[in-house]
Amino acid sequence: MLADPRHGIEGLTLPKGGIIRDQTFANDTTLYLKGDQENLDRAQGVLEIFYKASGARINWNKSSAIWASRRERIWDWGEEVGLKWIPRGEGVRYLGVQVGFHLPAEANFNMMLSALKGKLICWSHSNLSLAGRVLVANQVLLASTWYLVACWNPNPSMCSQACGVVRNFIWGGKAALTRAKVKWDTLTLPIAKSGLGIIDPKSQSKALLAKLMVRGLTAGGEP
Amino acid sequence: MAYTAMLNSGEALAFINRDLITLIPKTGDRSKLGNWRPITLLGCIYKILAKALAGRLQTFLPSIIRPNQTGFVEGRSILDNVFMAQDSLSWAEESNQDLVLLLLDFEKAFDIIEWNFLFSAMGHIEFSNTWIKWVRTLYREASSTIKVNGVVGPTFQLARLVRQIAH
Repeated sequence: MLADPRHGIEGLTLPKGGIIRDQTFANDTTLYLKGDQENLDRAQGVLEIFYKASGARINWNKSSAIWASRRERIWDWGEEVGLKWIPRGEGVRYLGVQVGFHLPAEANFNMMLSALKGKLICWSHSNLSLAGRVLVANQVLLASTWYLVACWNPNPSMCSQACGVVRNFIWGGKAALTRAKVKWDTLTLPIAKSGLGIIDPKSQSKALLAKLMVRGLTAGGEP
Repeated sequence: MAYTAMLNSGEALAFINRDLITLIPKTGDRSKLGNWRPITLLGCIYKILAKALAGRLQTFLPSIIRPNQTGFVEGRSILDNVFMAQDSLSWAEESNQDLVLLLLDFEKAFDIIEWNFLFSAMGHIEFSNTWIKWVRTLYREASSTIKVNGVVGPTFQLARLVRQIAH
């Protein structure tokens, strides 16, 4: 509907020359709009028509906007309906990942750490055997970060911090610092090679990103 | 056979098409109703029909659902949206465009869609009348009861809402 030329909505020109105006996953909708007030007004008008036809209304209070440009934004828009503008350098959670203009890498790293620590709160008091803790480390702790590392590449220091959280849990069963009995590189070996079969976040991230490259190259799906 | 009878006469539908809604807590304050997700429980007969229809629809989804919607369709990925959102911001700067990225939140998208909107949308993209009639069967004489704290409430007729069904 937004693409209908009668509405005259201008989107973002992509590197290969196409234009994107919107993208949706289930009901999570993103609009890519050329940044001027009239264009935003037109888009809001189309959303209004869609609401009248379908009954699906935008909750402006829970929606956010990000300004991305070499210039400063010198006008306001949408504040009266409760739209929140995310300032440069800050992020907003979108589909489980932090998105923002000039977003520091820490934003997603903090998400990764809080995912790990959130799971630790539930598991650190349980009295598990080593095998049990390994299972929890792989299936609960680390699993909570796979989605994130599939689309964001942590740097080595972030990886080792995350590994530290997992290592402390494996050896101590808690979040507190504990002495490791076997080095990390051995833990991540498969059990057949006398490791514990812990999945290393660094290699997992690499593998998941490589999978995306394959996807991008074969399907031609990446726009 | 039974299903064909249902399609044509609409009898016995009220019985099959009655569901039980129960609430599952999301995160946050549980004294707020908005933090609970309604989930619909339906009988087997209904689900078989729904599944059979969904299975047939599946094959055509890639050609009906525009590429901008990456949910529901096999082979499309949520990550496309994530990357597009992330990369568009730096690309706008690099290519000297002014971009406003609007992240929209639809108000409880599944419970407020008008049925007639769905049916006319299906007609518009040239679904056959037989198909639409089948889908209508899933909604005809639909009624619901809500179970809270183990107590089942009174039955009421449904007018909008797309069911989020527990499988």
